[in-house]
Order: sequence, then C-alpha cells, then structure tokens
Amino acid sequence: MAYACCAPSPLMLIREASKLTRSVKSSGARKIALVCSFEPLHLKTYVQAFVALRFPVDIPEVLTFGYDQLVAGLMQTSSALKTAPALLFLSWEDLHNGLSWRSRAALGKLTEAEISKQGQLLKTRLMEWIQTRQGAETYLAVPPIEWLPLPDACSPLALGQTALAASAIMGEMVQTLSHLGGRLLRLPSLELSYRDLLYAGCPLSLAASESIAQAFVRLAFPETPRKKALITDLDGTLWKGIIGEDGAEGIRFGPDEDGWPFHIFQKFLAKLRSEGVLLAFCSKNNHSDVVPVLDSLNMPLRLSDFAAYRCNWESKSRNILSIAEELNIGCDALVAIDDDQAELAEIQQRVPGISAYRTPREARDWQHLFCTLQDLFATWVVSQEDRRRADTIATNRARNAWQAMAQEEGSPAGRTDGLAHLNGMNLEVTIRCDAFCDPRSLELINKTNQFNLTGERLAQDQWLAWAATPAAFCWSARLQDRFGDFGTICVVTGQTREDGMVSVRQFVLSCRAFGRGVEAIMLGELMSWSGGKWIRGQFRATGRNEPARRFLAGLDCAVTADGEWCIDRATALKACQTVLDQAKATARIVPYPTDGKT
Amino acid sequence: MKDARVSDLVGQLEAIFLDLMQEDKVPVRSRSRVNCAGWDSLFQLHLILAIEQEFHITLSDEDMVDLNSFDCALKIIQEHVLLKDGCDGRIL
Repeated sequence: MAYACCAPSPLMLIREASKLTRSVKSSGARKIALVCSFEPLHLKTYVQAFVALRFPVDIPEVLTFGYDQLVAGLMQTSSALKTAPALLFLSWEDLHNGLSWRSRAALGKLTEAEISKQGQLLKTRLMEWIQTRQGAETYLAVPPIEWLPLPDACSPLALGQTALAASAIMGEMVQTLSHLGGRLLRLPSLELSYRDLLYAGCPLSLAASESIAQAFVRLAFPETPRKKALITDLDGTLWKGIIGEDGAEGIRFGPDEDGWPFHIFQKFLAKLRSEGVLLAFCSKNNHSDVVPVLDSLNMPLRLSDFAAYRCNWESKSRNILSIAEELNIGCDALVAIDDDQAELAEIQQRVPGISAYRTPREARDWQHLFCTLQDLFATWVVSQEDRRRADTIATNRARNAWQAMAQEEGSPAGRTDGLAHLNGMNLEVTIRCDAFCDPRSLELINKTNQFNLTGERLAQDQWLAWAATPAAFCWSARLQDRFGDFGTICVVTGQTREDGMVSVRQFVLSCRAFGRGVEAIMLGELMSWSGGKWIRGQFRATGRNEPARRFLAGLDCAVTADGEWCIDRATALKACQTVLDQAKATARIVPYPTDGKT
Repeated sequence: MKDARVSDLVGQLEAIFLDLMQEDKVPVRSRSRVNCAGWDSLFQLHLILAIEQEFHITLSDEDMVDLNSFDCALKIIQEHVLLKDGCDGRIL
C-alpha cells in the first residue's frame, strides 16, 4: 500500500488523466470544489481523474477557483457549494503578497508585523468561511516552506526570521481552522515547479499534482470502511521468542535491545484500542502457558485489553472465524498480523476479506506496518462510542455470565421466551430526534453491515443535502443497561408525508445491540410520534444484511419483488410494546429542538 | 533502425494528441495552433507536460515557444530523443 505522505504512487500520465477527465459524464448532482489563489492546472485534471476512477457512476464534478478567484471560491463554497467537499490549497502569498516569487513587491523588506497583520485578516476570513461550512468536508493544504521566495538574508540552508514568522503564522492559522473542523492534508515533499509557476502560475509539478490529488481523493472518499478489529499472533509478533519453549522469563518485549520493536508495537496496539479498535490474539500455544501468566509479564498490553483470544492448536483461520463470530463483526473488518508466512496464506485463503500482514523482520520495516495499520483504522474523530466499544465488549462478557447464572438459578432472566430473559437488565433506550446534527448518525449508517435495510452509504455532502430535504427526519437511539452504556447504536432516517405514510430511507442497528429489541422500540416510537398510519421503505439484500430481513419477517412484513416493505401502525406499536413489556425496558424520547435540523 | 524509431515517435505523439485534444476536423498530423480551436494555452501546457512525461525529456523555454504544430512537436522530440539515443539529431 502506498502513502501519499510516505512513498510516491504509481504514475498516471497526464494524457491518461486528461483522457479520463474528458470521458467523464457527470450528472452534476455532486460537486467538489478546489479553491486556491494560483492556477491549479493539472491538479484539477488529476483530481477529476481520480474521482472518476473512484466513482464508476454519478461522478462528482470538480469545480476550480484558481488564480485571482480565492475570494470568489470562498464565497461560492460557503453558499451554493456549501455542502460540497472542498479543498483549500493555501499559498504563501495568501498570507502576504510579498511572499510570492511572482509578486511585484520588493523581496526582502517584509517585517513580521506586516505578515502578521495581513495573516490575521486572512485567518478571520477563513474562520468565518469554515464556520459557515459547518458539517461539510473541508480539506486544507499548506505550501511547504521551501516555496518561500528567500525573504531573509541568511543562507537557504537556514531559516531566517521572516520565513520563520510566515511559517508560524500559517501554522497557527491552520491549527485554528483544524479545530473548527478543517482537515489538513499531509503533503509529500513538494519541489516548487519554478517553470510552471513562471509560465502558468502553477507551483505544482505533475508528480506533486498527482500525489496531492490522489491523497485528497483517498481521504475524502475512502474506498474501504474503517477496519474494526486487529488480531495479533503472540510468539514473534507481540514479543520476541517462543513462550512455550523459552518460558515467560525468556521472551522479550523491551524496552531493551531486541525487545524494542515489540514494545513499540504493543504500545501502538494500546493506542489503537483507545481509538475504538478491538484487539484480539490468536496463537498456537498451550492455553496454560500463556493466558494465566500474561498479566504477570508486565507488558504494555494486559489480558483485559483483548476483547477476545484463542490460544490452542486449532488452525488460525478457524480461530479467527470464531473470534469474528464472538465479536459479531464481518471478516472484512478484521486485520491479522502474524510472523509465519504459511499461517498468513492459510488465513487469507480461508477467512474471506481479511487484511493480513506479516510481522516485520527488520527494525526499519516496522514503521511501514504502523503506517499501514494507522491507515486501515484511521478516523477523524475518536467518538465516545469508539472509546466505549472495547469496554462494551468486556461488559458483554459480564452480561452473558449474569444471564447464564440467572438461567441456572431459574430466575426471571433465565427465561427464553421472547425477550423476557432481559427483564433484569434494566434496559434504557434514549431516542434523540435531532440526530442529523450528530456525526455518529452518519458514521453508524456507513459502517453497519448486518442490520442495514438497504446497504446504502452516504457521503457527507449527500447527508447534508438529505438533512435539508423537507420533512426529513433522523432518529438515533442510545442504549444503556445495568452493566454500562452501549452509546448510540441505532439510526433511522426518512421522511414523513402528509398522507400519513412514514417513508424510511435507512435503518441501521449496531451488531453490539442485537437481541434487545431496540429496532422494534424505534419503529414503534417513530410511528407514535409521527401519527403515521403506515411505515414503508426499501429492503435491498446485500449478502450481509440477513438480520435486517429477519426483523421484517418477524413482523410478518413481506418484501415485494421490488424490495418494498410496508408495516401498519398497529403492528409497529404492538411490537414496540411487546419488547417494552417483556424486557421491562424503558424508552425516553428527547424532545425535538425548536431550531430543527442543522 | 532509425526509421523504425522515428515511426515509433510519430505513433506515440499521435496518441498524445488524440488523448489530449477533441478535434475531428483536422487530421492529427496536420494540427497546429492556427487550424485547431482547441489548441489553447491549457492544451499547450498539457502537451508540453505530456511530451516530457512520455518521452522522459525536458523541454527548454525555446522548445515551448516553438511548439506550434504536430510537426514542430515531432521535430523537437526527435532532437531530444535521438540525441539521447546517441544519434546525430538531424531531422529525417
């Protein structure tokens, strides 16, 4: 895997990009804005080409605001193009027009105060701009310091006061914009294309344009959703040595000479866990050699950090499939790390969709693995749900143990008719009616596979456009029980109609909350709130959403050949009440705010 | 041998023109800044960059100014490529 920030990508010739761009038949429904104060030239061509490669149909159109159009670009992207993803590529001359090779101003006479004064004006304007675009994806790129027109008296091998001042002002401004939601692109080392700058006003070389365009499109429109769990081998991966042969005292995991890579790897995994990634291990070892002693090793990772583990002599693929089942996630959301090439081959062959990587053998290769993993698990914001996920898995063990114990003792929790076994769990469902403005809503829609009625994924701009649609609603549900908080685990969005029909566009439920009847509660409360007579929607089989189909079937709701389903009010209300009665659950609706959707 | 090389260059340059310019009235080898409406400054730049990428050469400022037609482009490329290949660079 190539990284824009680490390694050059395969070259797409400009003639190929031009040809691809010219062949694009955009519907114009979706747009991407590229805003800068220089002539973007081939940057536009490459962005459009990569967008065309990314979207086989409904290709977004790339609109550019280049030379002398920065202000117009900012205005357009905060009005007509307010919801469109935008890339703002700043130049040094945006900070002060004396910081340009092409400026008519004299070189070398700028003071820090002058740069600061103009920089402050730009900062204020951009802060207002980004706040106006709140919710829309806004990407930022800043020019490298090497592009400055040597404003100081010192050698180019050093940075003088003017260059440092410009750099600090630009950095502080971008940091502020980042706090307001701007996403800063990490650019590769960019050489100034002096010839293109002089003749065409474009400072970017072809290679730089391609690299930036590729990074931007990959970030703005990722092809694969974020992975959810990492399964690591132990011997030779989590530590150096073989615990079954060397004993607990013979393995090494640093921080000392040859334990360092493993020490850092463990710390890196701990960091991923804190970002919501589920950790598991799968090792061919005797259970008794590993599990009882793991916490006594005093490693950066503890046994409780792992949401699941298998330590036996079964095949790795079998163990990994069983971990996926235990964690209730699809195999394509898994990443495996193992030091044995044969094991990796077996895993890749028998666990469909898994991403598997070999433990590096050389110290220098570890960083590339970290970059790869960081990319697979990358997220812009670590939400409360992310932080809560690993703990929810852990508390699920307590839930299961409690239910098993109750079953043995013949207590009410042991009953298995319907959801009665949940009636000691103190289930609390809090429904939020203004969930359009909660980023978790779109996140859940875009990452849920199993209970997902249509499989439809929405980009941020499509989401914002949908939120602005008349009579559109978005509800989300948060679930808590006696063991803890699941966070937001259910989202339903659709439109209410005057004829009493509630039309559902998307309905998803996190697999962590399966079996608790939240979906029935949501549907019933929705019908109750809307006063609708019918609720209808589409069901599209994705090959992975059998739980969603079963839910509809459980309500005796037939799906037509066109994928249409429809449930009457009485059925929805009855299903909801049954869950509330059987599970002794409570449902609470947070009042709809007066300012409506955002 | 040299003829075959030149024939390759013509073919490669034709492909570049066809990829970069939508023009169906003027045959590729006859195209110039004068007879093609699509030969604007953006096409000129893309042509320069495409030639540099395709033939792994760097055009001089003078070449960029001289690049006014298919024939001129071919001549410039021949000079660069054949010189690089060790030929004398004369126009064939």
